[in-house]
Amino acid sequence: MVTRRTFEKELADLHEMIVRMGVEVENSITDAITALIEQDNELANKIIERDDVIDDLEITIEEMCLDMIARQQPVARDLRDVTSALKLITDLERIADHASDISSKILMFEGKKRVMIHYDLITLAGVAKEMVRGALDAYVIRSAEMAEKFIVMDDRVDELYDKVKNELIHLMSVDPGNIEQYVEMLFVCKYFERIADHAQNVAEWVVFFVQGKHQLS
Amino acid sequence: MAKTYIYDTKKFSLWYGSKQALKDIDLKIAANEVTAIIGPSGCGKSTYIKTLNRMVDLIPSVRTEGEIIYDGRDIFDKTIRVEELRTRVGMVFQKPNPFPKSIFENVVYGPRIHGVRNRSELEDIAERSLRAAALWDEVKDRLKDNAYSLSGGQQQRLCIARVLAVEPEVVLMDEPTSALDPLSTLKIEDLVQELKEKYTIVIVTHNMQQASRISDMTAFFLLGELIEFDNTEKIFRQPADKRTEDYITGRFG
Amino acid sequence: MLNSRSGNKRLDRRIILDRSIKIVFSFSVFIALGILTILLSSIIIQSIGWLDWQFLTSNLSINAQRAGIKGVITGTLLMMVILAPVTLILGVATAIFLEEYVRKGWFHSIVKINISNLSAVPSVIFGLLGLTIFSRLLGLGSSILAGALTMSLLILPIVVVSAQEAIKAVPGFLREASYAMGATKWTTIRKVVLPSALPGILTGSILGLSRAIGETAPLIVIGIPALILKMPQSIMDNFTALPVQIYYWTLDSVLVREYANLAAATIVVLLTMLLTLNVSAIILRSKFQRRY
Repeated sequence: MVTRRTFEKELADLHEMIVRMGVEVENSITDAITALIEQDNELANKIIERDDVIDDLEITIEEMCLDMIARQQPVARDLRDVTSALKLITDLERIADHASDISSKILMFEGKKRVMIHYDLITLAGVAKEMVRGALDAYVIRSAEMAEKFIVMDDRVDELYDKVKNELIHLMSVDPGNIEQYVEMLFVCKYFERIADHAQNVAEWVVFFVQGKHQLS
Repeated sequence: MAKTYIYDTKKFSLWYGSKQALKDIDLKIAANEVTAIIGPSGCGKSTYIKTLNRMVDLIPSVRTEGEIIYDGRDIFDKTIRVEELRTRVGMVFQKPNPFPKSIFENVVYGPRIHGVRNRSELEDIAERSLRAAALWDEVKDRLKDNAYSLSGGQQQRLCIARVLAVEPEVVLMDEPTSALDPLSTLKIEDLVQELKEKYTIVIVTHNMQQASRISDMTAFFLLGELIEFDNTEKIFRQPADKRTEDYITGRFG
Repeated sequence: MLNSRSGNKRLDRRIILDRSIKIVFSFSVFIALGILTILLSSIIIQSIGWLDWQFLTSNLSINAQRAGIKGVITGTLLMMVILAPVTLILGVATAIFLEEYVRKGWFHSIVKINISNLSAVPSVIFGLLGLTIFSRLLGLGSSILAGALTMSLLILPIVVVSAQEAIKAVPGFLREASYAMGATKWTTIRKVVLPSALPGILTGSILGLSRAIGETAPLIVIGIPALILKMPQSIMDNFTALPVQIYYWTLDSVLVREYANLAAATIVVLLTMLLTLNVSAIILRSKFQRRY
């Protein structure tokens, strides 16, 4: 006989909601990369709208967590389950915000002849998206090992970020007419780098949930 | 900071007739701490606490192996005077059990049987003990009233005062609040936190939230064995043994 | 089921049975009470005019007009004075020993059965026992001491059993509390068990004593004389007791008709004493009724 059936169901519902939120966030990142490459303004607007949905999801999940803490007095692994959920939805919400910020920048290029997007920037964006997907997968299958793989990926992102930044600076000096665009591009790059940081946080919360201690990175 | 240990239980086993109730218990209880003992029904926690003051002697056909060292001696040694042990190690029971006497007579029962006759000395002891049990203000004007005129929570605090009157070193509590309403329970929990400054408290409880609220160390018993014994935060945040975790998260069958 | 016709008929029958049983029981109570009333009133009527202050304060005499039961009452009371402490101490000690010190096993059961059986032994047998041991062997004759000791044997089982029940009724958790405070067994008995058991013990003792007041056979067997003119001065003196006096006067009332009236008057005195004892037992019991 499974005891605490109601609580088990509530935990299952919590996980499902987080997965749903994760799917929306992943979609936003994928769409952001697509919109960036193809200068798709319609897609960019969709991303910005979706941000509201994601914000609502964060609030709903937060209420579920607080409710469970108050009513079910979770301890040990249940407590880690609920508190790590509370923390990682914050990071997911920030990721979505950044995707939205990227979309705003994309909309700013509208109508202008746009400069080429640096290859490394796309790579960086791809790695960031990998990290988000990987962290969420690790959450679903509760694997600290898998999460750790994606935690260390952030180093690669940092490397790429420095590279892109230096190249953009170089471009700004040789092509000063488009300096505004290069600056916006730098912002976009920064946002992807921040997305990667938040994805790393999510992976760290997965490790905490499974192993009960923080990964010092 | 090194701990002083009051009790050292060494490979201790106990049988009721042919049924083994405790298996190879190794447990050290430290001074001026609250040690909680938790576990499902029949796990041996009540049996264990009753060995600490040898109340198990009252049960026929009890057999023990191993040692429980208190004050340098095994308490099951033949030369130990069990009455003396029970004066230094007091006990509060699950159901409040004051004597059918006045409140005053209840509190001074211990001192009286140990030879204190002087009236004013007894009155001092009574006041001191009732204050320590957070009951003085409620009963100071009716010490002559029968103990049964008190509420359940007050009766239990009276039993605590009765124990404190003989100035023990250790206070054993066997599910002291399970028969009380939630407010009395919380009052007694506060009392336990105060008492640990002067006494060593060992408390058996089936209420896990209570154990996590008031104890410094927690011992988890299962089927007569000690499964895990550690700081209370560790037990409730990240227990080492899965059985402990299953019990405290309520996933036990 | 209850709505069917046969169901209704069954119900009717049961209600009728219920009511008729009630009538039968009331009837039997009335019969018992009726007999009692007839008995009592005939006695009281016979005693009218004979039960007065002079009767209570005079010594015995062959002359029915002058006879009084002062000496008899004294005899009964003196016997009680010895009987009460002897039985109480012996009975309570036995009960304590059985309930607190003997392990519950075959020995305990055998003793318990034997003691209960003793209360069914005819009182005349106790008289024979008293005659042999106290009167003859110890040479106490038919003195107050002999009578008291014989009577104590008679009512001992009652006192032991009721003391046992009273001690058993003291809840275990009170003893536990005492032991946990470091008290020895005897201290626990003295300070916790006995005080709680006292009402039950006293009630049982009073009931035992009231039986002793009314027993005739043992005293006759040990040789209480029919006529004692002097007041007993000490416990070694001969004496007579109320029930014995009633017996002899009733016997001799074929010779002297007035003796029947004297007997009736004595019965009234005896009944009054019994009533007082029993009422006080009831009052004691209800006064000390505790809920644990």
